[in-house]
Amino acid sequence: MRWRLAIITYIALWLTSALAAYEEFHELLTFRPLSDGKLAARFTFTTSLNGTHPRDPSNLADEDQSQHYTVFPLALGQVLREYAVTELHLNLNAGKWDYDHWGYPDEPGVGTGAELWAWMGESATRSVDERWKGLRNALSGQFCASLGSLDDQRTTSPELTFRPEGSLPSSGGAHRLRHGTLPSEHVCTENLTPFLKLLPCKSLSGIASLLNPHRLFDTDWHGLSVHVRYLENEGIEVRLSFQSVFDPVRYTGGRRAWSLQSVFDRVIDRSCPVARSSEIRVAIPKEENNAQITPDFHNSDGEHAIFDVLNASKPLDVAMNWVNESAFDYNTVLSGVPLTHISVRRTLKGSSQSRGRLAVSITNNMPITIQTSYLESMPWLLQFYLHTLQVHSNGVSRDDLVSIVSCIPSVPHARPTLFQAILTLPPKSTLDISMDVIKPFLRYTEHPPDAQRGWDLPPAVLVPLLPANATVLTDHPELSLSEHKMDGFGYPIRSPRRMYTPVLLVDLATPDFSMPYNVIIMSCTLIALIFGMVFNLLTRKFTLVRVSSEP
Amino acid sequence: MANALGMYRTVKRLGIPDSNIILMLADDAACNSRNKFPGCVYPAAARDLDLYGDNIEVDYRGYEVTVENFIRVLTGRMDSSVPRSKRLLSDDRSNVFVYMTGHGGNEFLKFQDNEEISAFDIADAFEQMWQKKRYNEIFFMIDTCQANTMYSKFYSPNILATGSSKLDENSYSYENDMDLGISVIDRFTHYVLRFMESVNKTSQATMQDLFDMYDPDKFASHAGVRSDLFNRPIDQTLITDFFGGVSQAEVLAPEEEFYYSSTPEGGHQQESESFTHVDSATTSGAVKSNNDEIHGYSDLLSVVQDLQREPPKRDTTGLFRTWVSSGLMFALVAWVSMRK
Amino acid sequence: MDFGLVYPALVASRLFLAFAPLPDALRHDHQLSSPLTSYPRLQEGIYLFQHGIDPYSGGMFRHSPLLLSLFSTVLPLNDVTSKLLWTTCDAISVWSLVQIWRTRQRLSSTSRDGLIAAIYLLNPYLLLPSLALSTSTIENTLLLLSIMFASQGRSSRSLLALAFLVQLSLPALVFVIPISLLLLTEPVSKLVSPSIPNISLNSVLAKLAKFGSYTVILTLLSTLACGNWAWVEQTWGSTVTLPDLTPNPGLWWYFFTEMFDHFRPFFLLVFSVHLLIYVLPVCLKFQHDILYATYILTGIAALFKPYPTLADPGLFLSLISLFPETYQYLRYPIVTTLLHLHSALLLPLFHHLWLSQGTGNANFFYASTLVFGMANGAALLDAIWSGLRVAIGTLPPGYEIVQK
Repeated sequence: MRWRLAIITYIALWLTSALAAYEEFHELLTFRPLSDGKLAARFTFTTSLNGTHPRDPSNLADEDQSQHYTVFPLALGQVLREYAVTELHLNLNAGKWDYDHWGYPDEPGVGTGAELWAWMGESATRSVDERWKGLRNALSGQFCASLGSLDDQRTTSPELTFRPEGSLPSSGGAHRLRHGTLPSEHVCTENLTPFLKLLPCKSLSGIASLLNPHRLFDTDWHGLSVHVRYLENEGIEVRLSFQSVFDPVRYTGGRRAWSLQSVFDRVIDRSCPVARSSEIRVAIPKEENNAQITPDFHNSDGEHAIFDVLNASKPLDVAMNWVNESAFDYNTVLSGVPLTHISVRRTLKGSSQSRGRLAVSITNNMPITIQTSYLESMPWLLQFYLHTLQVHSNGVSRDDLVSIVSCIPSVPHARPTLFQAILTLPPKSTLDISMDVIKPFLRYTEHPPDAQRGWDLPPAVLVPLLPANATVLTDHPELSLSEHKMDGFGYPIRSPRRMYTPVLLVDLATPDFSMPYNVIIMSCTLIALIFGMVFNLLTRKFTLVRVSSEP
Repeated sequence: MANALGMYRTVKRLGIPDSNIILMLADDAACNSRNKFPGCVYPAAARDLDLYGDNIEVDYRGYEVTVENFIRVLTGRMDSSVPRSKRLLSDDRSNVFVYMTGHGGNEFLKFQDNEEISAFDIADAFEQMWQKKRYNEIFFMIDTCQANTMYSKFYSPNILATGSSKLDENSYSYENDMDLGISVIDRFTHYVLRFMESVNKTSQATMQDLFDMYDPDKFASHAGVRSDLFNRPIDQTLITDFFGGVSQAEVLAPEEEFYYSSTPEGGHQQESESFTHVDSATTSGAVKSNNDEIHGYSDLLSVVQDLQREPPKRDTTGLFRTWVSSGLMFALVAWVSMRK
Repeated sequence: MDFGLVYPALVASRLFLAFAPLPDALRHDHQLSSPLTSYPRLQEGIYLFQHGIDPYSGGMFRHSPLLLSLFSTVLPLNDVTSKLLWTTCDAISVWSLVQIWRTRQRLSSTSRDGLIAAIYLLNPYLLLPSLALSTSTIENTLLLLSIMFASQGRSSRSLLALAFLVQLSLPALVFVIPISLLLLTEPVSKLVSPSIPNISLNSVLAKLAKFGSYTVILTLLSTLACGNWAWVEQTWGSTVTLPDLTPNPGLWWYFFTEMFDHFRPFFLLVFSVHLLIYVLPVCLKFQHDILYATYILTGIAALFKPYPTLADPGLFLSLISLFPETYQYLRYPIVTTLLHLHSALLLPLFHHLWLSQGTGNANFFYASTLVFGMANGAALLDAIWSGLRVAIGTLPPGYEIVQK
């Protein structure tokens, strides 16, 4: 009797799990040696929940149906369903990504600080803004970051630049974008801890066991990101990613050879049992034929050496060595092909605390004319004088090269400026854009505790666009913008290549923080004195009084 | 930094989970670019123990550490959007341990260089907690200059308080780290942590033992204790009552084994794994969408093409309106000038 | 001095000065223009409007929609037209001032006309904001036109000019009652022998109603130009809620910078009402010479306006040229002059030290605004005193003036 019951139970379970949503977990670690001796590493943990779709925002008033997850992170799933979020991207980065030497990052969101953006469908019961507030606070608690301060003063809706990377379900209302940046946010172990807790194997086994915070936060650039997107016909995909740029030359005192042990101070001892695939890919440097990768690999897609962690012998320590190289020669860094289509530099000029000049200089590295979109979502800490916009291309004034798509001016104490323009860049030239800016005067309570430091201003975002009929650039095939690139799992990389400028620091005039009562008292005294004396004269009559007595 | 982190590690080691700890750090010392040892905070110059470690959750950091947020945490009066990890979810059977450290003085503690919290503020917050039944007993420890003044104003029951120095006394740091160029920990906290190293989850050490350890010569200040509001005798109050998360567990006789397939975690992993292996065989052949079209670009490219096709149109209705308005203005002026 | 020679000479030199190469920093100076009157902001608003962006959706543009419609249609602003326009406004202001003087003296021309013109055109407090293309010059022109028409008894023109002025600057509401009263009396000087004029309440109400109707029409025209009602909050609303805390020579900005949010609405209300409570007492006290009351209220508005520039106290100081009968009774003109000299030198110096050079802090500039406030206050009090003192005349020996 017992065994019959057991068989029926097993078949029922098999059927339900076959029909129900099934989950997959993939791990990937890619290494890419960079031209200046550094090493770009990228961890990608992808969990797909197939056969589901995001919560319909029109049902927000009803009780949510219970969700059952095995490897999908429960905490994140709960947040997503609570606020009916279709697509979510969170980046927490530290450092400055050097596009000129490191090329395009694998994850495009490399703006310094915290960047959070989400696509949410409109709902009659709870507005998008209300859910955005709840989402920021929930994520700030989840990831131990101060995302709660991405309030109205930092939130914009740049729908043209931040397109959805997945599909937006057509049921329900129109989808809206909310985007906020906090450039002064720090990244530290407390952000990595909850990140690791979202993984099914945590940091105990698999590739995630390499994430050693003492090494990761010692790097020239590091950033962790969380991407949630909905792919039609498939389901919801959560991609947790950690990118960093290591400097082996600094650790080893001159040599750029690296290994997992030297970089992470750890090796992989066990593989994650629930991972469907777990791979390490090492980019094979094309120009140098003395690069040597250990252990021996048999799997390769032409560009990468692929190590299957699930089946490799443990402990696994992947290493790369340049034979006959005793010290890295920095001279090779200077001569090089441009690694990106455009190079951008943004500066804030002027030493006055009342006004300045914002200057952006964009160099087109291509031999053809390309266009790029330029987005500034500037908090009201810097206000633009658009009528002073000047455009020069190689010294010649060319106002026709900038066309402003939209400009939503800032409201003091409330809304940031959203400025979007399309720039046309002639081949192999530099476009200089500059405009006057004025610096506002904040209230006493609006200044941060360290007001003398100044405020960090969010990066500008540029998206280079090649015209659709441009022939593939035979000299630089890697810069071809027709995105035939796929990520490790066969999905095309759909995100346009956004480029982020570094953040700026603006120095605003501060009042004297020690003196609020003094100021109130002194101003009120002056006003009261004048008031009193004026009314004294107005309300009293003059009379003559005899003073001297007759002798 | 090491003060608060040392207490955090002690409390975690003795069993309190992160969900029951609220850690507020105003400075980012561990990952600061000037920290020679990234990701590390050491409590001693010997650098043998890293307090930051691999597993830490800071609930309030940077500019979020304000007097207002601290009092909101204590009293529980928060906006509904504040997540659970940032709330003190205590009830009338919770023992709450509050540890504060920083720069302070006579009845105040400095927050963030521009704010202070006064002893009266904390006393009132504790009273609010008592009225709202948010604690059973509170243990309040503070390590600042003139720390004992901070607990002098409490008036709610069941509070045991201790401070590192009395009125007109400074609290001193323990030792300096010559590489980092800072002093790593304060004396009072250092000796308390050293005492705590001898305490484990099953320890029967009492609060009296802790207070007996206080030595004014070693501390270079007179640490104080206030127990008049506390209704239990201190020599019968265990350290783990406040520092440890020791829970009572009963072992029951095993019952009929039943397997539920929904949300298997941990031990049930084996079952779910076998099912997923079966499933993968059926779905590995599924075609993945190979859509070459760059989904993201289409809107941006169409904007560019629109701009190239036609020049940006000026706002004609606005121009019309302003012409009408100016015209009417001039008409009004002319009419008034014609009059008498 | 012969007015016919002095006036064209001064206007010509003013025009010459306008076209001379002046430093660009003049247009951005915080003493010469406030966020409500600044020329770059005017240009920015017109630019946004011409590109289809509502200039009142952000917080940059706080000028009246009437200016927006004027400068984007009939009178496009560029380097040449703006300088010509501002010079013309100055010329009209001077001419109005001289007309007021002549009407007061009941003469068609006097020997002091040229001097009065010079006192206005050469006053640095008025010259510099005009060179900086601050729209406070236009406000002064409208106010002087309104007073001139009121002195001549032309109520429609005067009230229309005042309605235009109120559209540009809400604190000009303090002038509604004095102008209405001025229309019903003569501006002839009665300071020496005050007599209570015979003004009926109905006639005052009729004037107020006419002003109200002009204001309504202009408000509707502004809404038509703008397309929505957002301009009300950005222009008139900014004088009440003070959203922009840019430094200026007034007393409001630092007070509300250092104010805690809890008390902000209360003190905004107090300061706004404070400006209005002077109107009736001053008018009642000087009902025998309403022009003098208007002059006093100019000084009060200059002191207590939310966003003053140097042009407001400049107008007050230049108007003193209309009342020579009060000069001998000024008690401390030297003190007032020295205070003004003191603050006129300190204001730009401390402003530069604080914002450009970075070696001073906000307190320096705030202190100089306090001194400036004291200077204006001293001038105001002396003017009130001497205006009342004139009625008593020379004191017989052995007697003293006492207030009871």
